[in-house]
Amino acid sequence: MTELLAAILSTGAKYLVLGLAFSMVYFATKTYNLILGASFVVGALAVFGVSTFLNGPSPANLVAAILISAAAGGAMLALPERFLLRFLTIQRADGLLTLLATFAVYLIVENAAQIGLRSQIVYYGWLPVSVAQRYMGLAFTHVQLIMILFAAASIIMWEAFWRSAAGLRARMVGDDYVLAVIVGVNADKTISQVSLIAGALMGVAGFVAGATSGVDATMGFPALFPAIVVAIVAARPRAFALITAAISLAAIETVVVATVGQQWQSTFAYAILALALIADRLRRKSQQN
Amino acid sequence: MEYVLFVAILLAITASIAGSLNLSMGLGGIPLLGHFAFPLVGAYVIALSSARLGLPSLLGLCLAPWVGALAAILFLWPCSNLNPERVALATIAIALLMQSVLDNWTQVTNGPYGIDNVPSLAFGGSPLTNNAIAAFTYALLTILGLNRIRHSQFGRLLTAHRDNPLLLAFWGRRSSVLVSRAVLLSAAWAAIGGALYATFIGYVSPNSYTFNSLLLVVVMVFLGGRGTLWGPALGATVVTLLFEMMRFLGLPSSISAQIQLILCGIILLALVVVRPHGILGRRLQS
Repeated sequence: MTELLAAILSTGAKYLVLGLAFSMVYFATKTYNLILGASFVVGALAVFGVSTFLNGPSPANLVAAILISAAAGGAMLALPERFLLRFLTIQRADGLLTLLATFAVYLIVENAAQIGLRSQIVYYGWLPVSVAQRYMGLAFTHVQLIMILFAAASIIMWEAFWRSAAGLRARMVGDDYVLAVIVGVNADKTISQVSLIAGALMGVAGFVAGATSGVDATMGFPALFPAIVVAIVAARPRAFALITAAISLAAIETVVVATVGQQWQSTFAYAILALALIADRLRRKSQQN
Repeated sequence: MEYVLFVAILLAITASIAGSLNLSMGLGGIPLLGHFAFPLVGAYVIALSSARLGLPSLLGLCLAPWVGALAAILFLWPCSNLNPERVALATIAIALLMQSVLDNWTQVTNGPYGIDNVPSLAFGGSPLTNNAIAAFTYALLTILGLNRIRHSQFGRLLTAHRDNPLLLAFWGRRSSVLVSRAVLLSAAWAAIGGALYATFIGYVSPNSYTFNSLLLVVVMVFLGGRGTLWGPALGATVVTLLFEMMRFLGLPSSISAQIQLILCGIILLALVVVRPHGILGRRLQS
């Protein structure tokens, strides 16, 4: 039971970080930006870079790798936003074209990374998975502790952003783009800022995932599923709503996987995404009525 | 000669599957990105019925569209009620769910190892000739069927739904009925393609049709022109020939699949930016 609770907390922490990054872009632009998956992969590649070119994880190398993953993740999201998605917005491209464009960018990055990694899952074993500490009767491994601490730091940063003037502008742009522009908000700049921060967060999330579970070029797309679910279920940019959504998703998933077996985990993830999209529509419909 | 015929059969099957996606996505404007589940279902129907149960392949081929349409029922509610991006995501999720079930239900589907020794269609000739006849007939029927649908009342209403759903509602037409018919028809037709592919290759696994294969089909539809009659066939020809030519470049086999997908991504990006209506399509008024 205690292992189950620890697993729920750490999985919830992971989903929370992914959900925070995705929800920033989702609530500011109202689009499903799949390039976030590429930011995640690029961040994870920083682990590969540190191990290959910087002779392993010394403290200085780790700090350098985190900064590189944040910068690369941010650039990975902000550059396509500036040069591709903004162009599509001006062209009044429909939502499907935008979604396909973001997927095409993700696909290019993923396959380029696969060529770089020679299609291997690379595990460096940077962190031991043995039991590290016990808190309130729960046994946490190093990996779980790192994930929870990272999620706590992320939520503080995320909350600070949404409460800042930049966050207020992002909310205005997300709520009504035209009105935000009329009242003098530089909407394009705001969306670029949001993309940069969300990409950086996703990049560091990728780095943490890569350092703890191994680097795999295809890890970006599966990471998007819980991120989308958390953002949709939370329905608004509020920290409490996102935390509740992430922990609930992790709890349901952990219990289901413990009951029916690990091999059904991905099946469950797809089912939850489809159900979340359908339930969200039903909720909106009932609100309209 | 056999190589050319092999490529031509694959091209005919892929172009027809692209044609079935064109019916829902091109004519109807329904972003059915979970479409790759239908060829997979069709392939499994014929593999299970003929390789496992020992039924004639032709019977499996006849069953495939019905089971494909049955599987499409899962997609109907999202397609009729969600906005385009959500339809795309929800249908991808449902299709991946179905693929994941095929992957894990090892007692029936043999899991990731798939089902081999799927018998070829038997008309009396050699297996290659039989497959060629079946694939070319399928491609011809796709073109004729799409042409008929485009000029029918159903096709015109479907196009109206794509271009202006509000106007359609104003006329008193129910979009959900049109969308459902288009999705079911598209699914049934794609399932036949999957079944033909399985009998041609003789093997099916959950990875026979993946999300990446769908992307290839989407590129074909977009390249040729969404909603056009010959667009998917043209797109399929260009993409297939491009990929076949890449075989002669001497790329290492370990990275050729990745290079193909990168190329797909670049083509899709270029299309979205430069020519979203494709080669044969006309620009739609926004």
